[in-house]
Amino acid sequence: MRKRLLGIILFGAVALLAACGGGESTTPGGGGDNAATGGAETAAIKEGGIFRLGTTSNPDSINPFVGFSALSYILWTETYPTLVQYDTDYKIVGDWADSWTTSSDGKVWTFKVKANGKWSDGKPITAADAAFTGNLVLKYGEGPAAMMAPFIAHSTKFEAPDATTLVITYDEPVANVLPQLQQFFILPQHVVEPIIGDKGKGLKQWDPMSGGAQVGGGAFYVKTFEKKGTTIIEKNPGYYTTPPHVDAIGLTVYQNADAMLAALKGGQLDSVDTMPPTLAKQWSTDPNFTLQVGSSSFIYDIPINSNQKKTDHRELLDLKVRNALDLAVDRNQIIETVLNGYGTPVATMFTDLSSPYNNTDIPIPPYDIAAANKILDDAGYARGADGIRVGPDGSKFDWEVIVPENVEGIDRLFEILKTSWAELGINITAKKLDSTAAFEAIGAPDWKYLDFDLAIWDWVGYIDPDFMLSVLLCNQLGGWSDTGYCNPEYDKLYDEQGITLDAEKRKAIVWEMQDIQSRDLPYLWVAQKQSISAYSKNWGGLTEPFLLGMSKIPWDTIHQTG
Amino acid sequence: MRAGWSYVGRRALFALITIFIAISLNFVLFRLAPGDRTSALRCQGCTQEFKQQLRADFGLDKSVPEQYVIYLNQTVRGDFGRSFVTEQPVISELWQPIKNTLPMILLGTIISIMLGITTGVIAAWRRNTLADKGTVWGGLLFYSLPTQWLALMLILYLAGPLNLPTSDIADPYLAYSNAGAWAEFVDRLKHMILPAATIGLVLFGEYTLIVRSSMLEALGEDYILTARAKGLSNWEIITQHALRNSMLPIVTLVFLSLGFIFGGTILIETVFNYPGIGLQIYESVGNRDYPVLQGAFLLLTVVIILMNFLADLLYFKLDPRVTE
Repeated sequence: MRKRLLGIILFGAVALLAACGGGESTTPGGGGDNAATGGAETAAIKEGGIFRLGTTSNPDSINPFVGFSALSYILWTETYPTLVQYDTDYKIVGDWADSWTTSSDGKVWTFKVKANGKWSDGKPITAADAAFTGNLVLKYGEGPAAMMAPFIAHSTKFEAPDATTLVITYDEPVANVLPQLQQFFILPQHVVEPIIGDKGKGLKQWDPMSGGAQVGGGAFYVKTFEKKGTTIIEKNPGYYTTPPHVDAIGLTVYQNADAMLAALKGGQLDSVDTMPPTLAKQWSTDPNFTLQVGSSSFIYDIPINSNQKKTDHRELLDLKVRNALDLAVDRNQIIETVLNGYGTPVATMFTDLSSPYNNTDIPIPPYDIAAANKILDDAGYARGADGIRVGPDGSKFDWEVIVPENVEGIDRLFEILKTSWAELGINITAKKLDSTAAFEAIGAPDWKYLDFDLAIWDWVGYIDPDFMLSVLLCNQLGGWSDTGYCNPEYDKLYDEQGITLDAEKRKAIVWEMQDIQSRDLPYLWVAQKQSISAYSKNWGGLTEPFLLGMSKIPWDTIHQTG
Repeated sequence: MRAGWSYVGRRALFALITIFIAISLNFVLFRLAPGDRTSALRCQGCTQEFKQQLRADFGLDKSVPEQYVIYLNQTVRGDFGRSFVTEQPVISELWQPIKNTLPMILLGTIISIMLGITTGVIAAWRRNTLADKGTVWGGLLFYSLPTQWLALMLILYLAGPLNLPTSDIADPYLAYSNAGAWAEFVDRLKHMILPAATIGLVLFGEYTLIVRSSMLEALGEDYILTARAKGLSNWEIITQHALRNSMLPIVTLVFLSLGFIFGGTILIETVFNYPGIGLQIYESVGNRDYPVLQGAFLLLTVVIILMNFLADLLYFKLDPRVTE
């Protein structure tokens, strides 16, 4: 769960939009299982109706200062103006902003925004709302507004010289201003200002539904919000561009995929955002539904405690041991067994969605038990009488692996790993915890990262590489770090890529950072999980499967087929 | 009579002591889990100072004994605090889920009693036949099945063919179709069928055994022989004589099991995403929402103890010999 902040949007987006894309997948590496090519797209558009989506993730909060789940981000993207968004080619285009310019030194960005937008309560949306939101986040960014602060990192002030002009000033040129601003949700000043409270504490306790419905300024506003039930968003009559075809969209939460699929089959839903890989092939033959498979940025990973002060099992700090472990991860079997074939092996923290920033020069480690054993033998780690290897300090290679609950397929992944590593003379034991407890256990004690050995988890990255790169920074110890890794050389490169405006030069730095990861192995990267979703053939209009949570385009165009 | 009041007093005192112990356990148990509300907030970008401030706001900066004293003090005064997540009073956080859970539990209990009585009567009447063995073993089998697994089986094999909802408590889209009160009632009923059926199937076995046992005892009584001699039909013998005299232990069992069912809905409500007290507890654990958890478990504890106490009183009423 700790890995579901910014990037989780992507996986949800992939799944959901894939579910609704009425044609073959346009995603890199993706392809439709059930050829409904063009059927939905060529059918007549029928206006109105409620699109009912089932999901197994839930919006954790409607408050953007609190929530972090995929569904929450999707809701905010649809209901709050953002300056920019991604288009169907994954290029940044305007959302509320019509155009923008940058000063010659790259520090001042000026946006011209649309003049005719209104919040759902009828008040006009102006640049003053954006300036207010930006300055609010700057003021409380190290406290209650921390969840929104990364999206305006390095900015120093927001100004609105007139109703349609927003000026953002940065303290240095920033390489990813636009991708970051894509997630910067502009909030209604007249609603938020009164609830700020002492030291901004009111922001965390703000209930945007307290007035009976959310005051939204996007294509929709939240009419009813039910964390455990169905959240309904309705059309915002004051939307600043072409209104969507549907009257409303409902998001119904299910605790398990079986219940959700039963509802889809029974006609209680029009689409589901996630199909378990184990059921996908069975559904691909159903004539009433389209199953669509797409790429995603969901990656299974194995964090290894990289804190040099780690107290026990210090053999895990030995790069030779890490290399041996990497060679003993049977990625293909994991893909076949855990993902039923719906995945690809990976060697870095990025998938092809982040191209060209994914370092394709780093090879996928082959599954080679013999080579792995040889590395450990040569390093002097002999097997004890029970077949388990022993370190020079007498420490047995008997490790505890933190396994969070509620990550699909993670138990089977652990079992495969246990079997493979047993052949190396290594025993691992699962320590199952809920996500909060698991993250605490990784940082224990008190975020010093002294106790844990390894974990299995997932990351869901983002198109721009900045956030994923940041999780290995020294300043993320006690923050997003789940490895205890700290390398000043890596940190320096991170800062450098952040201010390198030349795309080629930035790519070179990002690739070098992945080389460092590949050398130090704070993570073993295992496999990318593809998105699989299903939708009723009564719906069409969503042709781009990657954009939910990153764009208003998909739900603007969804429609019933004639 | 004095012995009777003494008995009631002893049971009441025992119930109060049990509640106090449960209150204390409620406090300790949740704090043993790693992490607290500030870590569950996942405010990775927050400074340590802000996290410390949050802990102070939640009262988590005080020592555990201090927190315990405050907690006891508030609980005695009927103040269960406010939810860490919503900032709303715990009582109001729990009230709606309780209202959602109660009718579902009642329906489930009715299903289990009806199934249990039917199978128990069949088993007793057809003693030592295949029908006897089949109903008893069937009841025990369902009783032994993991609740969440059984719930999933119902979803897989019943939800689709019967077009029954598998999530939530009501169809949120009814408001768009101007459905009347009757349609809303039917919709609510449909949403609780599968969770209630799960309760019914899991629990009917214990009723089967009790009914069978009581019925066998009753069927051996002289008045049954008399009824036969009078030429009454089997149906009349069962319904008007044997079953009626076998109901006393069932009434007690209903009281006892109601409390446990209330607590046992966590799994069922989680599988069906049914927004009752069980799902509220499940989510509060994830959120480390101590006040809600303490309030919910206190409520469950009180319900169970109250039901036990009522069962004790019922025994006393039905059979005064228990005081001896």
